[in-house]
Amino acid sequence: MYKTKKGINAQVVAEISAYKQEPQWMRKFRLSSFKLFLKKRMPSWGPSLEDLDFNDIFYYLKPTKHVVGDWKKLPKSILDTYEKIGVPEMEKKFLSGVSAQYESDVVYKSVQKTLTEKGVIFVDMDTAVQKYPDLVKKYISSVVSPADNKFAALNSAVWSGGSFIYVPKNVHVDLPLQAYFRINAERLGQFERTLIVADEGSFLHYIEGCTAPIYSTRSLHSAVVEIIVKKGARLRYSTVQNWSTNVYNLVTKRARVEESGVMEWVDGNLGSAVTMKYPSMYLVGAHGRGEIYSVAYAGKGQVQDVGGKVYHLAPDTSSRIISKSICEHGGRASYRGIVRMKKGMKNVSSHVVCDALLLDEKSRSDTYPTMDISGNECRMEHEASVSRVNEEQLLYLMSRGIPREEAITLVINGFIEPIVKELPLEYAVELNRLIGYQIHGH
Amino acid sequence: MKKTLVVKNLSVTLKDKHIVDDVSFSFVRGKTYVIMGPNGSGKSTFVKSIAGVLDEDLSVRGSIVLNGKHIEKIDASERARSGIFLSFQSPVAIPGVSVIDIVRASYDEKKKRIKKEDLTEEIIRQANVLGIQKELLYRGIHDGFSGGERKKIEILEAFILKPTYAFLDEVDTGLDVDALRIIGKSIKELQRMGTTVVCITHSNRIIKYLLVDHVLLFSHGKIVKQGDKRLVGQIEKNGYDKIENV
Amino acid sequence: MENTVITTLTSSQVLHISVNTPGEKTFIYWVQTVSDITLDVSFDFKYPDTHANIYFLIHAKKNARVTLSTRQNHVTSKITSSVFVRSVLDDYGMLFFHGVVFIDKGLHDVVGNQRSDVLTLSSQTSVMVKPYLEICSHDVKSSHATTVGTIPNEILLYMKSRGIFERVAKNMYAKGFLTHDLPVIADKLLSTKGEKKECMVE
Repeated sequence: MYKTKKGINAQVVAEISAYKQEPQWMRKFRLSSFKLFLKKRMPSWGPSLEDLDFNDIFYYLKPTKHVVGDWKKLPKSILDTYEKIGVPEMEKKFLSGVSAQYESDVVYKSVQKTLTEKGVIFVDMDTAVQKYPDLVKKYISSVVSPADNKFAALNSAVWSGGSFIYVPKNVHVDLPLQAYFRINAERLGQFERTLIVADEGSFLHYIEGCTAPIYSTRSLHSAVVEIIVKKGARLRYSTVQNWSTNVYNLVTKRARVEESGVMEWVDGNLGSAVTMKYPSMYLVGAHGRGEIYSVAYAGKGQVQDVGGKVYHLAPDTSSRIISKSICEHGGRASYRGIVRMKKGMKNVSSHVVCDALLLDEKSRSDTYPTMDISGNECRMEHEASVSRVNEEQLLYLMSRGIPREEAITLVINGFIEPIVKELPLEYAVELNRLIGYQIHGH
Repeated sequence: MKKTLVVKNLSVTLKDKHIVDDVSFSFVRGKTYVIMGPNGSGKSTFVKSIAGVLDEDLSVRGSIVLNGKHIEKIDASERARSGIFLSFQSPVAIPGVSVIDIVRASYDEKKKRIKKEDLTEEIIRQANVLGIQKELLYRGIHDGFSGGERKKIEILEAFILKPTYAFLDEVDTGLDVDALRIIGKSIKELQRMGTTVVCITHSNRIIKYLLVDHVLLFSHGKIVKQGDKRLVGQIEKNGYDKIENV
Repeated sequence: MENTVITTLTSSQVLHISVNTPGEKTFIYWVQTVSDITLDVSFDFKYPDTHANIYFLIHAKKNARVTLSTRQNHVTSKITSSVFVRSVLDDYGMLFFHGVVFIDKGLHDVVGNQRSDVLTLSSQTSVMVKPYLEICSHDVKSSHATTVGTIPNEILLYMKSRGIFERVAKNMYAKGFLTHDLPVIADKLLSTKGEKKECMVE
């Protein structure tokens, strides 16, 4: 089975491209990105990444090598969680990497049929490079340049897997597209590269990840997601991440929103040792709108450094960010965000709410927002709060016969409700159960 | 030249929809007018366009001539200094800016030489007549005031600023019996002072205190019926629908 | 208001205030400038049962660039502190505000709040606000809020309809914006400048 040597250099990058039999332009893209990776420095802010050793990583591994072998050999915590939230047998095997292919081929094929009829392209990125080179060439790195940051450069050099989606003009994709219906389910992909283009007037809801914990043998996950929302189109991208707590999850996600376009990021961060993720939007066309809904849970040994960034670069644009975080057992949740409004833009408004719940003495919450506003034709409102679970609310629920533990879960669910209600029902239910389990299960 | 305020072919539109539809009417100085009509018939928008305080997205066409001079293009503050006053239906709250601040500033602009102390005294005296608590005069105007208090403060401003044309938008809504009586009497006093009073109302409650020269009935942005004080009673008795179609 | 200290800041400086006695305290800092000024103000709350309200009232005109950093250090329990930064920016005025609310580990019954409201009066102003919260205890509360905006059109129209020129209306509103709940400063401003100037905000 194919795998590169540990560590990274130009040769490894070239090998990856060669193994995938990629066209010359993609090979060049990878190599020039690698040069940028070497030049770029680690971020001077944020959580500590000192345990990250770039030389101690395999940068390419064919999916089947992720297989654990016997799923009963999985860490007990993961098995317990599957039990608690009621994950069916088949899913367990798939999620745990035992089976690289979701055995529900039939479902997948019928979804594909509907999409093809509408002209929607939904394939994994590797296939897209081969089958739709013009489209990929046109859009890749147009929203996230490899020069943006060290991890974007890394991803651009060694990416593998991820989705490529193109929705034609005025096509509405009614059912949410889910990542694990792709052909080569590189579910444990470390360096996924996703590119979505929603052409004028179209609509798509894309879901990535799942609430059940994913056991990953890889320690660095660095994905890049680029999204282009064209005139009048609407795109919702929902992610729920629950990587095992040995993972560094450093993601660059960005959307460019054109005239009258709408972009919605729904971001759930439950797992990983360290996540650094700030879904962002460039509102480049008038009447564009962006929304970011983020929920983060930081438990023992976890750091969730998350938030959102919005750049208002056109008049009559509006944005909203709602971020909720929960920490306990020494976990640390940080909100890091920026709202920038360019000078001379008329009728621009933004509203940001970030709230944090600290469940015990050991945990810590930080809020680091930045607002950069010019001129007198824009409005900005930002509120943040940090507190513990409201004792009065708990007492009220207990006085109605609800045991304390359950009351805490209810209050917390209420706290994160503005985010959870943006997820499809099955996710919402799973997320609520999962958070309930996380809080009481240890 | 007769002292008049002549409105000709006034139309106010939002995108393509007419809120005021080609209305023409002449107000004669010193007389009292009552404007009635169902909600959404354009009454408020009509008087607001005369005062020059419409929302930016509305387009106005037509002419408004005050004592022979066209005012449809001039700023609200200049119109106010030319003697036009509007008592707002739902006046906005302005934290930190009191009614005393506003009246003083208005006097400065009009270059009316009156001593500051005298002005404040006048305001307090008038407030007393209207039954307004003194402390409200120093607070941010309308900031946390009840409905009745807001109306009274608007009337107070009219008394102090002494306009030639006073447009009172639903000054009787939300008032209790006592407040109604006080305001009714105050408006009567304004009449006595020679002010042209234009009252928008839905009922007889305030009107009964006043001498009324003319009644206008608005419907769908137009004046559909005119008459004297008896029209008010008929409308109250039969409702807007029936009257329109008579 | 007892225990109120009003200070006019006219030049760049670093201020370190240690609040060592309990009770209600109000600090008001007035900054009116047409040139650059950099202020670094930190408060250490060391004594329990302290309730502090701190106001920064800023008026920046012409090419003034106001840089304000504040820090609320809560190192003991049973403290309430609130920082209110209100700024009126006109002409090419700029504001950089970086405020930190810090609550140490192992504390309880601490409430640390911060609020920044900016009123922009011209199209050439800029604002950068970074309100940070660093909270290491859980039996505490902290919040911040930021607003940036200009005079609501409705309010401008109301004042104009009372015959007030736009320029004067803006100044009146700006004064109300800065001092609406601080009668002590409104009066003080008026008396120091004399009756001739209706508003400090000119």
